[in-house]
Amino acid sequence: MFLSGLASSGFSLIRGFDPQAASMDAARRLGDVDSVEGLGPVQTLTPQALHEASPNTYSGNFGRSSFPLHTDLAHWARPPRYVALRCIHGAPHVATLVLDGQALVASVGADALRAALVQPRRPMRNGKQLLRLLEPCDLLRWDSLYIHPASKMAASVCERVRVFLTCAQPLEITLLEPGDTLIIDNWRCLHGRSSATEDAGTRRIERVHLKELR
Amino acid sequence: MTTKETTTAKKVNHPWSADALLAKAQRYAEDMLSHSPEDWQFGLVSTFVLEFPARAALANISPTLLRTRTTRIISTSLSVAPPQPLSSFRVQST
Repeated sequence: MFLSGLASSGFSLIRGFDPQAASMDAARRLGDVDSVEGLGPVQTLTPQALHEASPNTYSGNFGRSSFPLHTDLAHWARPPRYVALRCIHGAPHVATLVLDGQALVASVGADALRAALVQPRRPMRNGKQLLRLLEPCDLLRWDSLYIHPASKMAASVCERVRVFLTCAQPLEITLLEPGDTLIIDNWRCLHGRSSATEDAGTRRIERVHLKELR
Repeated sequence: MTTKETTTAKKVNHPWSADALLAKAQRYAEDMLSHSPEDWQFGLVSTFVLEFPARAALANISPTLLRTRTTRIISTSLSVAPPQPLSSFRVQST
């Protein structure tokens, strides 16, 4: 059922999906869990102030302000295909933002995105690999923080992407009740988070990366 | 968009993978086009633009083809004679 939503819009929301189950067990019912190097299989996301968070995280850069739209691990050669965000404890005024990347591709142009070479902001395994914003396998990547343009031409495409995203109107999805699960096609959709006030500090979302869905 | 292949997340491409080599070719092509065709740098960089897709084609079969006798294989693939090392730099066997 959720697969049709993913195919049509790039994401799918399942309300109250087995709230008693552990996130890993729930994720296994959805598909094959991807083991992502350097990250635990289930990651807990909570709003944190700038000074509380590690500097190489989104919270460490944006604190409780809104997170810009991005794809997860965009600086990796192959980012995880799907991201499952599962509510453990919701906050009514904090939303997950989702934008279908097809609108970005239509606006900026597939050829321009394919030609735009970017690099991770820091070396990985002693090198800065060259990546494309749109890979031949239709993998769309974007992150204003972790990837940088690798050429003048890429810089101009990145600027066009920034302008587009500034004006874009992402969907706002609130994961409120335990078990509410949002599955995002990470090769197609960009996601972010709205700003979180201090009283939203109890918000807990668990994230699992999936490589395939059932 | 077309149907996408599912795959496991991967942090880095191997530097000898076809993807990595093609991206380098693309980067060199950008460099090449920043020079006038009359400029010597255009000619120099264009050789790299040609070399990397040739390497990528070999890597697509197996990156090990780049490991052994690289120059000879690429030269053979491009149907040109491989360059000979200068005698003064040739390693003498004992």
